[in-house]
Amino acid sequence: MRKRLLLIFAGVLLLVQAFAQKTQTYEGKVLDTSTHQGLKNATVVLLNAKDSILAQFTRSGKDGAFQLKNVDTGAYVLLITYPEYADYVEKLDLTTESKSTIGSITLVEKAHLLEDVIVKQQIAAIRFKGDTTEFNADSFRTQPNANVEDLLKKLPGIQVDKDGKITAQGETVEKVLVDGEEFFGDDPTLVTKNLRADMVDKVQLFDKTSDQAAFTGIDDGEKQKTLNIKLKEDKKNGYFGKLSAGVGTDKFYNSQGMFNYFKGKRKFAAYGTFANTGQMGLGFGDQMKYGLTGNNVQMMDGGGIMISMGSDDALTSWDGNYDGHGLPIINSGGVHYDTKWDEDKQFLNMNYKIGGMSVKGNNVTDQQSNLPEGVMYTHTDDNFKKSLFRQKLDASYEVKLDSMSTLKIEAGGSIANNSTYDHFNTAADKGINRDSLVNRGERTIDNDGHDKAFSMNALWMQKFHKKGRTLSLNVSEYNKNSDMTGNLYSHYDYYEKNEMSRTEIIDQLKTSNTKTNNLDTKLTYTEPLSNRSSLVANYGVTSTTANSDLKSFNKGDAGYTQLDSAYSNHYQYNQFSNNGGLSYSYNYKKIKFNAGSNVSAVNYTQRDEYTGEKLKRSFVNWSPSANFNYKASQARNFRLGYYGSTTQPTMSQLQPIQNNTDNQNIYIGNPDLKPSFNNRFSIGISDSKILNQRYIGIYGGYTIVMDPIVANVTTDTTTGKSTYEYRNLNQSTSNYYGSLYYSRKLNFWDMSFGADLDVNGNKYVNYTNSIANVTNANNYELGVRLAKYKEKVLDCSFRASAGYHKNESSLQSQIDNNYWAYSLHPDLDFFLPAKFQIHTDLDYNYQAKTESFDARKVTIWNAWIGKKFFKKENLLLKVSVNDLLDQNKGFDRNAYNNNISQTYYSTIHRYFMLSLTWDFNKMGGAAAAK
Amino acid sequence: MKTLLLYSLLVAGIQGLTFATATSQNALFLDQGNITFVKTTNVLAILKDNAQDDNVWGAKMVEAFEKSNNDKSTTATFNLAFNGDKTLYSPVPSDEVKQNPLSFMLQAGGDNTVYSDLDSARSVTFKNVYDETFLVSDSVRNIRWKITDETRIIAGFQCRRANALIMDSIYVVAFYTDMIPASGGPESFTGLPGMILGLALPHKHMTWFATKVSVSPAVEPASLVPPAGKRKTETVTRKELFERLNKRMKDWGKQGNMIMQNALL
Repeated sequence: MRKRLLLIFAGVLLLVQAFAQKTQTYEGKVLDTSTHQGLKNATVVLLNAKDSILAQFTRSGKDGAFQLKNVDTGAYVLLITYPEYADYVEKLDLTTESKSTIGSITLVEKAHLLEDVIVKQQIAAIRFKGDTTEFNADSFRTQPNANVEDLLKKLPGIQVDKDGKITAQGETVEKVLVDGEEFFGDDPTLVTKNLRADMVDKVQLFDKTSDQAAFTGIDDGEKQKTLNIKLKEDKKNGYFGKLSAGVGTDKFYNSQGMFNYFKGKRKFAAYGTFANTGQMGLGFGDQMKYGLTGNNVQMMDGGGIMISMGSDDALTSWDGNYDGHGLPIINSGGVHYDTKWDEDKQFLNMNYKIGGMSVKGNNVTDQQSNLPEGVMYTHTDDNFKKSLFRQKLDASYEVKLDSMSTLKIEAGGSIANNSTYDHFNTAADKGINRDSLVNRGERTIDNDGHDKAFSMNALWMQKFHKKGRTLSLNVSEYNKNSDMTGNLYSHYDYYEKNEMSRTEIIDQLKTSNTKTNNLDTKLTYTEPLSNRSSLVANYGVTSTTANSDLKSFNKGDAGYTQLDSAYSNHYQYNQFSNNGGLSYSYNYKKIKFNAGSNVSAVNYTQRDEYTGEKLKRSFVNWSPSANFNYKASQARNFRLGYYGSTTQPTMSQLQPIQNNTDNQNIYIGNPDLKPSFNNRFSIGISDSKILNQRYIGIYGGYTIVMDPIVANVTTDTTTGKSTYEYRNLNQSTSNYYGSLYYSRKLNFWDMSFGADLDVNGNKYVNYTNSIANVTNANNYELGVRLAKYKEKVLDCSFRASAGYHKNESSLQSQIDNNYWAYSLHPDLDFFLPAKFQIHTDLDYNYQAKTESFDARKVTIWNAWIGKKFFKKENLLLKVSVNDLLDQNKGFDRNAYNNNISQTYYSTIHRYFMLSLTWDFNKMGGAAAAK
Repeated sequence: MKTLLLYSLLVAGIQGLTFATATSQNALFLDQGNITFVKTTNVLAILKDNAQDDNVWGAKMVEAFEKSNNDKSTTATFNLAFNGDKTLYSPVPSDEVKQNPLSFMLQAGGDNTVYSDLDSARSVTFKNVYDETFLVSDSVRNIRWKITDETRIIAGFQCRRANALIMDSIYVVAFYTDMIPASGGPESFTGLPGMILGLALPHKHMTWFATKVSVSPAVEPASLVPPAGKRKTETVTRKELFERLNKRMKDWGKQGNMIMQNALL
């Protein structure tokens, strides 16, 4: 009888395959050992002896006979299997001399075998309590480079046999998971990855699926003895950072430093930027990289990613954002710390930012006002100086209370000092030929302010066992205190028939104090109605109080001591609202739909502290919305949306605080204002062929405002003063936009091509000197883009656009203010040998002449050449030029209401700069990507 | 040798109990039936793999994913109908809307219909790669299976493990049963001495496991026909499909490679 072997493959000694190969057919028969009857359908497998690779297989016929055809000579293993029978394994060395019959093979039923063997079941010495048993890997010593099996063997109650089968508590472990994912073990002859014992953090043993599902989040519906191997997290220890410094002509400079340090789960980052080139703080990419925006990436249900950028950044409140006007000096810096602990259940994030900015500059504006009485031109020359210094500290703490609930608390405070200085020179003239003087004036405003703000937000979220049911409570509090002191000096001379007739002088000291406190609570509950639909309900209250105390003092003999009651006031505001909302959503196959509305009932009280007079208003705001989305396929999508909202008149529209800061523009309140209502419709269609990189999209929107609140302007053409009074219009205003885009990859030179057509416009009505003025603005633009990218060789794009801008005003319709505009924008990067790189971009803009304005043509050309040094290419030396042609003079053209204006402003123009940037990193041994 | 034998018999004994229908002389072999496969993709693990050598973005994505309510893995159901040497593997439509952060990367070739004629070693696959459809008509994928001695029970059937490497680098673990003589399996995985009831691509974090095998109602041989293309479907060989995709995706970097590998499975 042939020797019976089970589970033989590991360790089979090999014979080198015979050189002479010849194919032959082998025959045999599979029989049951006790009945000696043929076994039909037995699996007969021939494996290569050297590597167990499947060479051939067949099934036995009715009488148990089988044939292996065209078998090469060589060393094989014959494996015969049959359900419920023990496997039959035999080594076969097939040579040219081998017989063609293998003969009869008898299989033994497993049940019979069992009778002969005394089963010695080994019961584990240790019984584990609870559903989960956990072993700490570090408490069991293993040899260096030991594998996971070696570790498992050391754990009490767990046995690993020679073939890697694992038994725990006397039961076979059917599944081994690594970090919740099934671990199959790698065949070292096929793949080289290996799991070492020192990579293991914990070994967990589960009895039930539910535990496993709860611990790993992966529920495969099977109930088995399961081992989960938790790996240690990659120990991130190290640092990376960047240092950059540049010096330029005309005293331009730009320097930056950033540093990021990791130790395990703790992270520390710091940065500083110092520049007068308009560089402000960190770019978006660096902000993300250096973690200064904190924990701001969120994944929505359905896998969408939401990134929240803090709008309340160090230099963005006040007009502290550098908008290109004037010459800025900006210094900013910050530190960041975050840490996780308690198995990542608790997370703390802290930031401190400090920043200062000062801007000096000059704006020159020419405005044309179309009035029923004729045209008026106003020329304004504004010299300004602004500075801001601000510090901000914030912290957020997040805790996972249990697997169903989380709590997140954020708190922050900031203090800021700011000062603004403006000196205006104005001249107003009327008549098409600007031949009639209206006024000449100058105005100086000099303010110093201090702000203190504190905010707090707490969010508690609770999930339930029913999938999709959630409850959340959000409470937020905001408190701000602003103080300001300033001087106003204004001197206006008015003319009649080109003769000076009158002079108006204001010389005042002004102080103001504003305190605001806002408390907002909101409870949201989501209830799934079925797999397809759910209902979301929310309720909350909001309470806002504000106190505004404004004082103006006229100059007397003893200085600014005489209170000017006309321009001093003290108000106390209270607003309390109950807010509620309900929405329904449906999501099934290709259709997504939701509709609902929020409503809030608001009570408002305004008390004049000087007179004791009270103004009360109660109103209701509605905001209905509906969205429909049809996803015909992954690449084809259609959506329709509606959003409505009530807009209440603002307090300054109802009863503005008297203000003489700008005595050429005066606002009068209207207590009879009604709310207006906005209806917004949007549509979008997109279709893409991703493989061909062909994208087509159409989107558009239309907004109509019912009972809009508009400012009616009465301009006194004898003084040039404008008086604004708000009122509800008995007709609606509207605006629209639409866009069509197309892009695809071209076969020619592997380039990509894109084109877009945009239209937008608005219809606006207001009353100018009691005559309705209907303005219609319509803009059309067509753009095309060609681009070519080849990694490490070139990255080029070219964009050209042409647009037509149409502005019509029913007042002064004889003035043609329609014009064409063109732009060209090439952007080229070439990667040269020896680590050189050349970049150049150009921005050409042409705006044609109109009746009011001259044609304008600007070409801004920037370029740099750089060379990278070192093996890691982490040092970059760069020579750059900003605005090579020195044409960036600063220019804006605007049209609104019955006004068209054009502004020239001082800004950064041509400079050359030499800069050096060094990226450094040291990350846990491995070289991190730049 | 003795302990080995003892152990394996013990396991076999336990497993024997679970399969009560089999008796020595008339072991049940299924020559036709329907097999329900559940394909599970561990999205979080794939995201982690792809985020590792990337910048801080990847790490933030992983962290956000772990905190979110999204399922960390996604599943899809397929049916494999077989009769004799013909098999037809096709997606089972689901009402549930399943979205995950890698939907875009995982969708290409994610719902294939595969017809295989095992005797003549031919297969026809209907593939949707970003709404462009292909009929891949070629010989069945040639896989050098390495047979092992590891066994496990899947859907009540005792299965033996085999390992292989496909497309030069993808490690495949398959479990086949000798009780279903058809040498078929899910997707393009065939060529073992019995039906594949479990399949895993461990380093790509994907598994296919049979959850149900049914013999009635019987699968009519006439119902096992190659999928038909749509109006614009192109018929290509596996090599041609590779060339087509490679031409388009060679600039897509690491993600492009991953999309292409998935699309070619």
